[in-house]
Amino acid sequence: MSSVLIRSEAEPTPVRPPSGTRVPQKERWAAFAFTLGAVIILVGLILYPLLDDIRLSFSRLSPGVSTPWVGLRNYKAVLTDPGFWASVWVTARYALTALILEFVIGFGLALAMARIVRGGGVLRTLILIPTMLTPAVAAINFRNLLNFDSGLVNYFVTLLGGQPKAWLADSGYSFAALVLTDVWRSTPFFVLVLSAGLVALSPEMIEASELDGAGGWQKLRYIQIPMLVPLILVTVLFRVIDLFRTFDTVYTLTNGGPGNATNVVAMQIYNDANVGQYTSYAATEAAVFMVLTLVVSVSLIRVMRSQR
Amino acid sequence: MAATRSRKGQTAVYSIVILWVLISLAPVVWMLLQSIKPAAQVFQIPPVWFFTPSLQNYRDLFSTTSGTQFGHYLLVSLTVTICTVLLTILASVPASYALTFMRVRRPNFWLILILLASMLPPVVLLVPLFQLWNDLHLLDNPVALILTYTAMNIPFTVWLVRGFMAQIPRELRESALVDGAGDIRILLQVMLPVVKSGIAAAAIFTVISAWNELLFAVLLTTDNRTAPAGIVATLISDRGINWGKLYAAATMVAIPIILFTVAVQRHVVRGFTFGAVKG
Repeated sequence: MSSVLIRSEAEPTPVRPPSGTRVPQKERWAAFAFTLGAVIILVGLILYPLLDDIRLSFSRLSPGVSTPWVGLRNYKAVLTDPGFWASVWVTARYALTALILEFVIGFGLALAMARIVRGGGVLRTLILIPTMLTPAVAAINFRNLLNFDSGLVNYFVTLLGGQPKAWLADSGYSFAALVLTDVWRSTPFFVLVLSAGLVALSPEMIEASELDGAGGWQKLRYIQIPMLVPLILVTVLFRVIDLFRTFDTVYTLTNGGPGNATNVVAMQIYNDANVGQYTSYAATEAAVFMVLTLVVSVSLIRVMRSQR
Repeated sequence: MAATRSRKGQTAVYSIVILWVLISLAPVVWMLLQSIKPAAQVFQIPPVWFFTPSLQNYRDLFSTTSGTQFGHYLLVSLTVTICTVLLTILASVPASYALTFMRVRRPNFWLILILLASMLPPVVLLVPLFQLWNDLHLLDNPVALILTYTAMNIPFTVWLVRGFMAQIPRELRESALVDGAGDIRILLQVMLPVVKSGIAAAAIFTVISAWNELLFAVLLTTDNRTAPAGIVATLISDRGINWGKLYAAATMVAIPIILFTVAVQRHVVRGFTFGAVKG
């Protein structure tokens, strides 16, 4: 069943015409015309900037200085920069923690959602709202909720007899706040995808396992989770890509701080680029980050394909 | 016995889901409440739970004498979002059609390339895109944002719409070709009605991403900001922030998205699951 569900994940269905047929000239022109708009935009605004970034990473560009070729000097600097690796580490820890929490909570909620008989539509809409809400706006709100003097969180903490804390001034708490903001925002994605996957599992198989005396836990462990593995992996891939992009929440909620406790790579590159002194340095960081992202995505895709 | 157990089960299932909904929507409700509180009570602790709702914060936000540009920012956001969606769909749907039905050389190579492009973290293009728009004298111009967002959204849109089109039997196009229809007519009259829910899903994702985007909005604009960039700039730069006004602004950004989500949630769920299922 799951193979029906995941018919062509991450692998295009072959669209090659039967071999031997010559592609008529007219159709070639038509294909060219149909893709032209997308190609122009993608070449101009993705491919060209990408190549330009690589060019910049081999140059030195600061106000008043413009050396077109400095060899691997920027790469050497970036790869030995503890600040850069700290931001990679923050991103990795952030992505992993958020991913695990979102998966566990999301799967639990998906199991519940898949059993709901009535009102599922309304609940789904409500669940979806945090995902769609502007992250910067949500982060502003959370920043206020966590405010030392006038935040609602400290109000409740004091109400329960605790000591108010400067949440966003503490590296552990601000990291946790960042993770929880994403859990709040992105768990619904897991809920929706996994509950759809659970509903689509063949009922015969589940019933058969029930007749064989499988309890709820066994059913989950030996039937439902294994059948959903391909879907889970695709969802994880989507989330990882998205988590690596995180900028809005960090920029608004913590601005990378305190210190660089929440300084994700996107924030690091933004700051280096924005200061202006470090144009080619930021470009090099971006190139290295691109390679890291590519390695992670491609490994996930390979795991996905080996699962089928 | 079985009936009571299942009723108990249903109660448990509903409680879990409703508990999550309550927790996750509480901050949103709080934000809405703060925006209609009299400005003096916004930061009072213990919080004022019962107050006379007032639209004063909103009036302040949009009053021309207050010096805030928020009305202008909202207009920029609206323009950028609408243009981005139209351009993205216009460029992507024919490309999806060509990649699905036409005999393109090495189609799989292109598809993999599109997939990789959709995985690219936008921050990677930060430096070169800033320089490009600077060289073209389009900094602080909505056109730069529109084109940048369009480029960011085309790969996923092509991928998603192609997934929907791939389910259509190829014979449909071939028989239409035999009947003498051109590809443009086939796309518009035969394919569009069949894949419209896929296009709707792609359009929705584009709306959300363009309306919510912050990185390029803060990087590429100074006066013609989008609403989220405008709010965040106020938050970060101003000393004496009027929090009531800020909450009103945040709500003005959030409300259209919430209403939009409620209106189109069916397509979103379809797109989410389809996007994930089809990868």
